Amino acid sequence: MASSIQRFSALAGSQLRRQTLTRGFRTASATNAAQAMTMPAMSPTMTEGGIAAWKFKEGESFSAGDVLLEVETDKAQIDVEAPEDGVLAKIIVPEGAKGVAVGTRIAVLAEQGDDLATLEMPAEDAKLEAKKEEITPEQSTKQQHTAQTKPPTVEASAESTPAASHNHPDPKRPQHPSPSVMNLLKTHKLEASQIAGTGPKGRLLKGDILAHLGRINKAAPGELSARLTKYSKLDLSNIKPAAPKPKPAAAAPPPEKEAVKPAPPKESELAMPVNFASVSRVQEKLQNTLGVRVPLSTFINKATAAANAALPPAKSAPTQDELFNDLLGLPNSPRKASRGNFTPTITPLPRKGVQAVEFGPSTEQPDIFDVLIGAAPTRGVAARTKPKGPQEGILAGGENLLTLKVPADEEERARVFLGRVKGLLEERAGELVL
Amino acid sequence: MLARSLRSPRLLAAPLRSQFVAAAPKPLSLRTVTTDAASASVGAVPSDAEQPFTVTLPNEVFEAYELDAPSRQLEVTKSQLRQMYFHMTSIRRMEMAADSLYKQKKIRGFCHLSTGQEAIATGIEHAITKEDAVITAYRCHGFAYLRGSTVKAVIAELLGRKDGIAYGKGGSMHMFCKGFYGGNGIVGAQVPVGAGIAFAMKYEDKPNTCFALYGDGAANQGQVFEAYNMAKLWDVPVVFACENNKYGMGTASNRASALTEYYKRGQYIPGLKVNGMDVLAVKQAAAFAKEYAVSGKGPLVMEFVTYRYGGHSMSDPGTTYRTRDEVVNMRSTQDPIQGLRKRILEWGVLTEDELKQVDKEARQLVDKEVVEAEESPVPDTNFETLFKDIYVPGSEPRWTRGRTAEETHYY
Repeated sequence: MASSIQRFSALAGSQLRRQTLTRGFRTASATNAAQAMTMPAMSPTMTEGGIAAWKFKEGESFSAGDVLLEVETDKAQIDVEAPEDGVLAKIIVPEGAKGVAVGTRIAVLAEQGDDLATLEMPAEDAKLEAKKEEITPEQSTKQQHTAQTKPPTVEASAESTPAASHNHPDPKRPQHPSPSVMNLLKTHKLEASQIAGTGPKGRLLKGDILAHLGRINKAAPGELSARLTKYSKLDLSNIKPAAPKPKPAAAAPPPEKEAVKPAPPKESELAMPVNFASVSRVQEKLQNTLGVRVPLSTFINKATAAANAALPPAKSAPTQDELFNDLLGLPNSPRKASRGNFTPTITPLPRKGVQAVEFGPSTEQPDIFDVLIGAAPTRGVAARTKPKGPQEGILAGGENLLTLKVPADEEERARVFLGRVKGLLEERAGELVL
Repeated sequence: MLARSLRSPRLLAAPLRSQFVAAAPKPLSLRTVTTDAASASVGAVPSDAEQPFTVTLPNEVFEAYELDAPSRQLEVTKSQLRQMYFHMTSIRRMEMAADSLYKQKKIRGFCHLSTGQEAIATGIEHAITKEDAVITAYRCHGFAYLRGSTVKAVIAELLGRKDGIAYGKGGSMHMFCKGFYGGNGIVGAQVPVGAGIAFAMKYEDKPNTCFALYGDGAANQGQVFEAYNMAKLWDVPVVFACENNKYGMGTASNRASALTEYYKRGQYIPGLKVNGMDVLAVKQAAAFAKEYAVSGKGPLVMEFVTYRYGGHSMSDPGTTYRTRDEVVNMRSTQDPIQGLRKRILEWGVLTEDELKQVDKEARQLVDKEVVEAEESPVPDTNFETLFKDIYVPGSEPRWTRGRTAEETHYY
């Protein structure tokens, strides 16, 4: 087998090789003995569970780590992984079964290479029975409780209801009371068997003794116990799925939205017309002399970068150092020029509109006058120059508009920036590429 | 649109690039420790089981911090390889038995399994002597078994039986034997204790070391760094070994740790990162660490990169913070047992049938001892038992308090 795998592995890629090789191995050796798989307790409190799904069919083989089945408990659905490689010989408890006690045999697992036909399954069964009988009485009442099928839940609920009437405490009642209970019993010379307990499984509590002694309301422990029993399980039966929300009226919101709108970020939009005539002249020149076509974008990129290089410092609130220096009357070092990261938007300018362009800030906010008279906004560069449809691109060799949206405190920098870009593109276009 | 494409002009890029170069002079290391368990090369393998031969480990098994990495060549014998394989297989079998017993509700309480991390316990055990000490956290079954206990004692302890390693009174987190200081339930608490054990060794002039193991979760504990400090200050021969299985209780290590290179956590202590899925690499690194510590150079921080297949503990399904695919992939490609198996076959150390025989031996051993452990009686239910085995005989106080005045126990 190994040689055939190796021969195969020589052909396959290294990753595949590793996988096939390791998958081919297994730590277990074939012993031709089936193993019973019992219902696993997936949590310490689980006593029974349902089988939501078997992920393998009878006769299929699995590797360690594969999900064999999904177990359903009252809390969650949990995957049960195979601890080692093997074959699912027989499924005993089918999919969909509910209330399967922990420890019940649910399947028979065999090992890869085992002959499923000759597996001895009944022997396994007998062994299991024998094991069940083996449990000695002193091995704590707990084990019996869990091992012997379903009734525990019913019993438990019956027990936990306050059984104050009968004077013979349950034999299953926990034998070791807490120190405070022991102390009370001892100081008042009482016998534990005289008093009915109201704790879990009839456990004797401090309150029971105090009630017995008449130090507290006699009904209190019973009431408390009933309350705990009632709330120990969250009753969700009265909860109904929420009714679908009525669809919001279609027309209503818009006016309100606009009313909310007047809190736009403090941004201002700067605009500046730029003429690309000089750029296209340089382009032509280059084309003629060097035979190189330099695209317009190169000019713009370079102009942007150069203009961004060292811009005057942003007008921002004085720093703590500066305030401190002011207080002491010390000179503040001038703020350093810094690199900007402006990226202008370039849009072709409608020829007719050129004369209206003014160099200055404008806001997208409608003019208060327009709002008052209820007219469409007419002022502001943005309103006038915004193209209606999809843009055609830059108007090569003609008038274009450089626009820039900046936060209010960067306005000064942005203005310098735009001025530089304009200067570079209109007057020193040649220097940009040479 | 063109306006949008104003992104990468050369004028802009040039100063940017130079900044980058100035800020990041460190070249990115291409060599990283992998968790590959299988690749290594070997010369001629002798026919004698006890005759050593040289094995060269692959390039990526070690990564050192302020330290010359140990040689990648080590000498092993055929019988050693077989023994390592047997140890790893029996640890895995034992952990699987514990898992199954837990799911039958026979084992209760805490139970942390080391399925997938067997190579670390095995590699360390094969590099040190019984006079050296090991102290680890609560993922301790494999260490307890290899340090000189038995599978029966470990499983009986888990079952709470008299034949348990701590007489059935400790459980999963509290296993002790000679040269093995537990089994510690408090996260990270074993690290300063380990430094103390090593300090005792130095104090008594013994040529031994103590491996203080902790997980990647515990690596963020303050006391770990306190132990680092004292250990380095006094050049204590302790090896701080982090078993990095990539996930703390329910969190990936990179979501919990600012620096996930645990071997550099010592800062002023040299570190060594080791492929913890390669038992030979672990053995070589542990041998190197012992030599380093014993030669008086002070402590060493190690990181064993490994992976656990199961959840953090029995109540963790182990698939909520990682994908099942990841687990399956690690299991199928980088399993330490399969890795060693592949090498053994490739080098012709053992045949497939012989390996099957080893598997069978391990299985039989574990099965037999589990049955014996289950047959062991529970501890006597009297007050005497409660107060027994707490102190080293002769060192008891005059009395120990019980729940009530009447229960006070006088030694």
